[in-house]
Amino acid sequence: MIVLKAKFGSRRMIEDELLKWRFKHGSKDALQRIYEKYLDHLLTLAMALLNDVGRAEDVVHDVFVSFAGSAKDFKLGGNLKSYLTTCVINRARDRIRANRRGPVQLDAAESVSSNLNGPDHAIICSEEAHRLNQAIAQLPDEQRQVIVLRLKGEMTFSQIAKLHNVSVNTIQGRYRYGLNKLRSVLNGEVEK
Amino acid sequence: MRSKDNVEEAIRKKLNFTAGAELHDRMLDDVLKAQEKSQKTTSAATRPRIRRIIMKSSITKLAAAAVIIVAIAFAAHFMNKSMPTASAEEVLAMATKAVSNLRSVYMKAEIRTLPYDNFELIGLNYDFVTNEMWKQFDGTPQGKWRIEKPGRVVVMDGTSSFLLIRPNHAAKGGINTGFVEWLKPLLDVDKVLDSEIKLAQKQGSELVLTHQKGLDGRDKLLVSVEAAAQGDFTNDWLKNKSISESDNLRIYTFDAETKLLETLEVYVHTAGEDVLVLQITDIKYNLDIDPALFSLELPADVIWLDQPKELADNEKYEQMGPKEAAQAFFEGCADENWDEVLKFWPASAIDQRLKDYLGGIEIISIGEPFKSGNYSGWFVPYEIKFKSGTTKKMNLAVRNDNPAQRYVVDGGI
Repeated sequence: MIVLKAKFGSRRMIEDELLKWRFKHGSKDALQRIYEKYLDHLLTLAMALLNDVGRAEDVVHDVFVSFAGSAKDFKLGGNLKSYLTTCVINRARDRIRANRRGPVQLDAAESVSSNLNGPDHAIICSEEAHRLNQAIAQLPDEQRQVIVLRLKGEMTFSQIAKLHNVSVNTIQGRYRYGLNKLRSVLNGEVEK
Repeated sequence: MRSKDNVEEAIRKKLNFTAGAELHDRMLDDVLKAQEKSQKTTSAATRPRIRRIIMKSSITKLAAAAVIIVAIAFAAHFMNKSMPTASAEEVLAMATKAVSNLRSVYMKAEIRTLPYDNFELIGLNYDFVTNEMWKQFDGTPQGKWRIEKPGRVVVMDGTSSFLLIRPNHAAKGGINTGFVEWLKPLLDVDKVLDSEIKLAQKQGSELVLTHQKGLDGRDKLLVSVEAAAQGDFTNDWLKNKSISESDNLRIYTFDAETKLLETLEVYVHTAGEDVLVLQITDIKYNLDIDPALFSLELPADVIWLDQPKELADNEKYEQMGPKEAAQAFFEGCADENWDEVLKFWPASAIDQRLKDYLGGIEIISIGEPFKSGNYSGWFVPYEIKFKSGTTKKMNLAVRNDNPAQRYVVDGGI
């Protein structure tokens, strides 16, 4: 199928452009496709930032509901995934600021993650993912955000610096310290 | 001992959460409700068209170029039959083969229309009305089918078709009688793609094949048809009142492997605005359909809609033009002379509701007839005053393409 193969290379780009256009013009099917396509990515991001099933769920829920109601005014020339990612990051950071309970401590992290793989299976993850998330939850808030935004939000250091209103060097420093601490935690070398 | 790189790699690749089924469904439900609510409370704003959006950024230009390549290859196939490409005909052949063993198809579509009006009618500002369609393939070309919306239902029982306009107006037709216009070809799922390609050739519309990944992880074949409004719109009364009389974009989604139709969306382009007017929201194949669906129980007080018969003084009416016929029809209503009105009304009787509605009206004006779109009859502008004192300005549709060759009312009341 020469003709069809020619299309495959650019499938993702065209797919999102079509999805955006169809969503904007009221397509229920397109909205559902967008939801299915990015739900897990956004949940992962929210969980990594908040380490709280309920709050992560709320953030992603609010982002999608707000997005669904925005078709009339929806103007997006850029990347759909980046747009939704930014929405989740902003809402999650609002929650973090509002709660300011500091980084979730290990004991607390255990309790808030009780809905993971539990009877209700609100959010499902592997043992490895759970362990990684628990380790990230032990980082100071500003280091955790940089690590998550960089590695799961796919943002550049420069974009993160702009978001936090600090220099790129500061962000890179937080990233480096964060990774070192993570490595220690994951290797069982709890820092004093 | 984990290195820094290993930690980064682990977070990138292994830190993944998945929504459980309950959360997934609950959230999706809220999301779709939010969209529905938004659609009900907002009117469509000015929006750019798909081509403009795709061409807006340089990165998407590249992607769009790939689509255009497909389109060109596709078009070239039409222009040069000897061109050895594996494209449209192969897709068609596979599609036909895929549906050759179909027993039945069921579709549910949301259409911006009026519940009681004809199936072809669309309105950009109308709410969505649910239309359901069933077809049983029985080896005959026509099969058995049923198309229904709240105010109307059409059933083909294999030999005859019946239209019921609820509560009590009915019409009988043959195998090829219309009644459902544009929707009927949709039920011929084995011919949808073929029909679109033939239409594209005939009307010069643009047809593009693309691929995308579906929700179920399977590859989908998207067929997008950009079609221009058909008909004469010197007077644009009928513009955008049916899909064929609108500039529209139809996006069909087929399963790339089975070639079965899965969804359809139709968008109407107007000046600076694109409006979704039809979408198939559910489609199922090979369901066991209750045979009772292919028969209609008519009410005892049914009024039959039928072609007008020749009158004893048919010549008098045959000589009337559209304006004279409209004038005579409304004068009959004004005088409550229902025998006279019936000569312009293609039914076995005048329904009491019509008598109550139009009896004793006052004619304010009858304008000059005009044609619009693909309609074979004429539209006659009129303004009337009801007994209640309210007035109405509208266009009466009249046509004389019937055995008696006299103008009868076809709509616009």
